[in-house]
Amino acid sequence: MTTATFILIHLAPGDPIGGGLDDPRVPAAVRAHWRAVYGLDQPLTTQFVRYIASAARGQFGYSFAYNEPVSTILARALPRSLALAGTALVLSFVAGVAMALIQVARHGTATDRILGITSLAVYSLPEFWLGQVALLTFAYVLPIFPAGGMVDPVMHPYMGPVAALWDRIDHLILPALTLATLSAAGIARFQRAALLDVAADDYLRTARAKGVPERQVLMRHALRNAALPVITLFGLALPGFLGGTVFIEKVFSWPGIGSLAVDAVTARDYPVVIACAVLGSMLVAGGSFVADVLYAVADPRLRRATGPVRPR
Amino acid sequence: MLATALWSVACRSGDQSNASAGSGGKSPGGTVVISVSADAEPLIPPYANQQQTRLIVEQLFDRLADLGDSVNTIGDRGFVPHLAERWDWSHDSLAITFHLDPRARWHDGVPVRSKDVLYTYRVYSDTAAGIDATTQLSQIDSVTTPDSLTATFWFKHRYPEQFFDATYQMLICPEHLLGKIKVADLRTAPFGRNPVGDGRFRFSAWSPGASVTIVADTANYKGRAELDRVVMAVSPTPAGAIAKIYSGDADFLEVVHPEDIPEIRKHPSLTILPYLDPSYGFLWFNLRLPKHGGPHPIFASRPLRRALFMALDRTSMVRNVFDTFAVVPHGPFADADQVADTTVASLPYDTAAAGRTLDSLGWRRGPDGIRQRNGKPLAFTILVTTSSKPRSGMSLLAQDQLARIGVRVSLEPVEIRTLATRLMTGDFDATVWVWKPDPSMSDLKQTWTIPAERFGTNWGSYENRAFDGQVDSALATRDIAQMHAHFHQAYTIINADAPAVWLYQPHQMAVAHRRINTGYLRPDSWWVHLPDWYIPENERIPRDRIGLAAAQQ
Repeated sequence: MTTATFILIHLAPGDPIGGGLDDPRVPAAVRAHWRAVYGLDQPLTTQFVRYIASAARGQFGYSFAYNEPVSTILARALPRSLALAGTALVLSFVAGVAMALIQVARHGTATDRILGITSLAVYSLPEFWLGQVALLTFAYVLPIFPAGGMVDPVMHPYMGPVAALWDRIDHLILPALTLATLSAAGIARFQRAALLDVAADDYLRTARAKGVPERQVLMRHALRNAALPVITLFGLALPGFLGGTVFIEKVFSWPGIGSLAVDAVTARDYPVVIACAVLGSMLVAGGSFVADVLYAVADPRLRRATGPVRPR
Repeated sequence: MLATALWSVACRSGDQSNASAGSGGKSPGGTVVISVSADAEPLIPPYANQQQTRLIVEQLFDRLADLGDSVNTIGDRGFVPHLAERWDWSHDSLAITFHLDPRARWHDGVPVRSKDVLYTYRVYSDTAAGIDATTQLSQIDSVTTPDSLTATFWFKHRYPEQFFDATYQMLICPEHLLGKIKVADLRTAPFGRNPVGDGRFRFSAWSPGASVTIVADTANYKGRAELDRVVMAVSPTPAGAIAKIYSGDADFLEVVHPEDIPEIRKHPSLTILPYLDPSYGFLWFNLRLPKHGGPHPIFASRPLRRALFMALDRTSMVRNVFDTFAVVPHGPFADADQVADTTVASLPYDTAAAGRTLDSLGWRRGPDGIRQRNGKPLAFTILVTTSSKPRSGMSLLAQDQLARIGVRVSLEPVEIRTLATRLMTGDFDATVWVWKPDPSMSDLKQTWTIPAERFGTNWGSYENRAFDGQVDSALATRDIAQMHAHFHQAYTIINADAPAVWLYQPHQMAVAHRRINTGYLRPDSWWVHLPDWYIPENERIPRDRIGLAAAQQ
């Protein structure tokens, strides 16, 4: 991943020492000076070897744009994105699974169809567009939430602990809800399909024959058996959410990894771009590991050390 | 012309200041939240190039003297004392001696002394520092410090902008805090994240990626700022920025897009502040062949460039893209420029004449309507930045209008960083570009003269020694009338040569909360009077009443 990102970003046209975007009239001598300072005057192979050597030691280099070690920048941005993505992740799965359960419980009814069409429509919306609409609607037309940022930039330092916590939550709700809305629609569609797959299975018919209430049949028996596809989705969702925050963070002025990555690509801040890509791939691997663990939790057959899993 | 004149009158007369504020008493206090599009760079004056950084740094650090509202850069007329309470010229005008204000203190309490001035000059002029302004100081021979409150600048020769170069290019830095840091390491010094200045605002807090807060320096030698606090809050998208203004989360946004004006006008709490802008946009021709450096097969021809110029209806293009929020420039300058000349002749819009010129040059219409000569079509590509709606719009309209006289124009969209790189390397046929000149008269020299091909930004390789001669003469004379006469001649030459089509000069508009009295927004830096902005007591909102005591805890 590091190699691929290194090659791709260096193939992109544009110069990291091209001067400010508003004023590219930086003298050529000054550009040459900074190119030498950052080692950009060296052959690409030398730059690559140096970078790999640093990365192997856990160092991602020095940001051209921020004039700080990349690890410092990531350490500042990652918790902010995790807070946003984590909240949205929880909200989207709760809402998505709940919506799927309602649809399956009302299968074939108008409620099922309306929820299906709604989730498909929402799932199709571009994040950037939905974010701007949500911002203008709920921060301006109906001024319920603040218009972006993580905290009130003026009053936050002077708030007590409870007010400061609420300030953070207040700023988190709208971007998290926006991010969650898009994902919840997709999760609902996956979960509904998985639930309908198991709906005709013998054990559910048996449960119903024994007089188990329908709600319990769905929640206790069907949901657990239909969980595997959604667990896969969950494992990949965290890095996916971080990808989703690219747009949401921009719209809501949320200074996390997404904003950082976009700015770094625009500025050709090579070390930051590569570090963001590596971080993303680590999250994908971590998400897959979490999904494997959750499979075992959800399906006792997978905990067995030997023997094939009996297909249903 | 009339629109420009009315606009200028409106701006100069103070309509652009928020005159409706001020019904209550004027006493220090209040908070202004300014919406900015990006986070600041490290707050080290020599490296403050981007606007969001300059906005902050120029509040924290003072110059020896600053431009007055006239933005005159010739001699010292109109300059306002800052760290220097007065100055003297030597009899031969080769030296200027600045006498520092003995009351000036750094925000850590240490007095500002001449060793700070000397240190600052050494840093700015050190080529090892990699500072953009270094070339502008090349005509200063040395700086000496006869005593702790006196600094003398010695010049290699006399020229009109000596005083401007000695004062405007450098914000004085604290030697006692930075002097021990190697110049090569200055850019990354921790000072940049926790700066100590001497301006009427001092640094308070920085939340990276989110906001920077500065507060009034209550013991400042020039008097404390009227506001308690200014917060620069980052809003990366235009929609986010304007939403913050509508919701009251932010108080000031420096650029409002024309499409937002009707909505802003519905808000009684908001006011639109027009201000003069020295920038101008133009369709730039590359007179050399991209990459190879030989004459460009199309744009090396002066008559052909003139024909293209005359084929564009610039008035309708401006109206189409900007409505009434821009006008057509008269040459390579905006009307707000101190050396603007609105009497200079410009090529007319005349498609018939343009067609005749192309015919006479042997470019005849082919069966597809595109002109050809020796089997080669009259075709070129305009590089279009994807990040600017006005520039994209102008490029599209140019494509359409040039097609009518048989010129095939292709548009190549590229993102801004790529565009900048391709311009610098001469890898383009044409592009729509915008210059925002600094206040110096020499900007014309840095952009359109022959030396600027190597040491400036003459990336289109326009060459005319007669033009260069007029510009050099204008910059050398101390006679204002002669200077304007030389600039008039220079503009006449370049307009006749048509190395570019001067397309538009935008009218900038800021939006501010009505309770804030902004005063005059100077064209080169609207933030220059920020320490004098105020909020009447009876119009203050809760965040205005926090007070400074809390900030100093």
